[in-house]
Amino acid sequence: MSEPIQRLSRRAFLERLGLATAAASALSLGVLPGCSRPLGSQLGHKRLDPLDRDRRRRLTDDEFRLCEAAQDRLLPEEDGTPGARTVNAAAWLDASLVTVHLDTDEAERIVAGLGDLDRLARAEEGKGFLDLDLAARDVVLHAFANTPSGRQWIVTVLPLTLEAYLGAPSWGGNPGGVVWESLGMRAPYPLPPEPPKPSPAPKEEA
Amino acid sequence: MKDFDVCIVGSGAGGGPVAWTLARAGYSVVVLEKGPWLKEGDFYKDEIGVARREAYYPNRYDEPQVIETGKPGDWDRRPTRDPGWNFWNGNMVGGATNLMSGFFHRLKPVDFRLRSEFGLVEGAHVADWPITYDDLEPYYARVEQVVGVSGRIVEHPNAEPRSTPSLPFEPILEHPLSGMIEDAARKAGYHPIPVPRAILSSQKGERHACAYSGWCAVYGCATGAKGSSRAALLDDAVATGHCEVRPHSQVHRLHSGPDGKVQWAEYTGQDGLRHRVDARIFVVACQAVETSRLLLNSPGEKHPDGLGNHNGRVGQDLLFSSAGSVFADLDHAALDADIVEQLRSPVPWINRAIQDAYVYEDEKLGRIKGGTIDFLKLHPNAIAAAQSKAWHKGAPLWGQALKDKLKWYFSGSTHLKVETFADWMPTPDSFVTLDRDTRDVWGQSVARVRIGRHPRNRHVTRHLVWMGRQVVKELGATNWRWRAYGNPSTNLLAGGCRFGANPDTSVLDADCRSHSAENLYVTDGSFMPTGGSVPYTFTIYANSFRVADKIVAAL
Repeated sequence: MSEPIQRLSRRAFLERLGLATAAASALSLGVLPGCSRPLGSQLGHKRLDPLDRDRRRRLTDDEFRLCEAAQDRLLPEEDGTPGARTVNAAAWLDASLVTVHLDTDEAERIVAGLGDLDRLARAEEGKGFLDLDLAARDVVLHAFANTPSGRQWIVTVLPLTLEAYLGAPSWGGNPGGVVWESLGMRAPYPLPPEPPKPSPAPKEEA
Repeated sequence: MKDFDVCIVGSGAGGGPVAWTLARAGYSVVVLEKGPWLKEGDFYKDEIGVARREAYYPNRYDEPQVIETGKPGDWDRRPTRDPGWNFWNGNMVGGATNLMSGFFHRLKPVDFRLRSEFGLVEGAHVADWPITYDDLEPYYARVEQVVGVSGRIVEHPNAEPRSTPSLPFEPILEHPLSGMIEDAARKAGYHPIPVPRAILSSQKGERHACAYSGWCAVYGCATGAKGSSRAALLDDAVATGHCEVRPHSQVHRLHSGPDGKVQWAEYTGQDGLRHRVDARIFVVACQAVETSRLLLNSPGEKHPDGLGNHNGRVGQDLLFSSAGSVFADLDHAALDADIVEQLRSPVPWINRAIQDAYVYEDEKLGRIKGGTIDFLKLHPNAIAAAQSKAWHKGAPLWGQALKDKLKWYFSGSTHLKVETFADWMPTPDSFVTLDRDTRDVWGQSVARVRIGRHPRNRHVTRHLVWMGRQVVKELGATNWRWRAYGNPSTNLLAGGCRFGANPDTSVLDADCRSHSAENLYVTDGSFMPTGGSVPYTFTIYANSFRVADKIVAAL
């Protein structure tokens, strides 16, 4: 269940995540105290099943599917090479929304943008974005990009998608470096180690 | 009885040589470093963690700085809690030397006397150094030996004199582009030179040679080849048994006594508690911005305006580096297969430079100080590269068109960068002070940096960038883009505590000792009255070794 959208100061946002100051600092650094392994590994090692309700997340199930579908057009897979779906880009975006890497306003605009995209699809094509075929989705996305807020949405979401696409596998995207291989890029060395197998999720605070 | 003979604040290029020299001489040394003690095994080439989540910098919400840009009468002040930029570099034992590229150019004799050589520059506080190149030369040689500098020395029109004919380490491997760029530079009428690198080409003690990963600048070195203060100096200093390095130790203030001498350092330790350490001698080397900030945050009975700030000059005459770039591509489809095969070499290093215009005859200004032009392969950061490619004619680019462009970028082309270095003119509007409205998480006023830009900076940079473009054109590279940046890069900082013979106009004497606090030394780049037109680290290392010898003599 996603948290209701609220205007939160940064400190209040951290407190709602139930994090002490030191850990919050580490969270924004991406490195936990006493641990040199990037925090993303902690988030990424969970099986990135969009219906995994135990993982801390921001998007509702519907928003997640919409996000996946939109990112799929940003980096599609019709040419047989990896794209946004292969690299779990939507899960990465969802995880990014609940870290302090993104400004609270920025995170809210990303979520709101999903709704705007869907409304544009209904207005232009008579159906929700998820009910359109790929060609129609592309048309709607281009129309979206021609609006100021839509363009800003793409400008914000594309780099986050590219992080899942081209980042180290230990963060949860680019599984096994498959994107690097498909692009003919040499894998960086040494890479952060893959995180351990998933452990049972901690209970969320009430 | 003091806790230590010497307390050093900061463990980078300014702190390491002092710790190494003093510990080996048998003195007791403590190094207080605000960051963690990361080592070779911690250094992954992780673009997200390192380059995009700033894992190696302090948290910008807990430790902001404030930056002022603009012009006189119209300064825009922004705290770095807002995403953007800041002047933090390398928050770890060894500091920013862990993350440098290690292009080790020396300053030249002319850099020590810019005022005498070229006269006044209107609106700039150009001053001669109180020492000459000859005073520093033996210490450049020491750095080459002790830190480990590899490469070849060649004759060229602006070569500086050397006491040693060669470098102690053979050159590291080079990409075939090195030869191609040499040819192009000669055709353009220049004298290309190999660039000495603080990167080992063979084993030195516990440090291994370069592994040629290519992920060097911005990233820590997993083999120990890079001449970081940590791997090259502090590990050895600790091994003497006379040096203790305390990571996670943020120094807030240096406390001084009624005689004006520094008595103890107040810091928050790894346990989160406040601690004090006293010593006979204190050395501050936190990089220029934070050094001046610490001194200004350390008033005392004899230092009402900040430690060592007897004349109000602490934080003044801050220096950056005037930077320019040329970017260009070599499109494989337009080249013969054998050339493409060479371009695909995995060796990341080009290591070529041009210093033909280190001093040159300018059309408008006559004979002036110029700078250095370095040639390198574009940084391998893949996400940043992809992000830059996700544009077409000013609009976001995505979909198959983006994928096709990325495929071309990563395997259909080779990418060059030219970096130029010119003097940043010290001006009345280039300084660091305290921002008393903005506090760090420990309640200390943060640094406010005003970036005053002198037109000379960009004037010279444009000339150097033009020269770089000539070489790129001769090479046959295409799609070239160039910039002469108005704002400085954030990794090259100096000034703020300039040294000089006259206590009225300088903070430090020629030995980098405070004019007004006799047991205080500053050994990072803060001492420089002018910066020169090369990256600073080599000179900071050399001067720190020089000052270390002075401290030994004084103890």
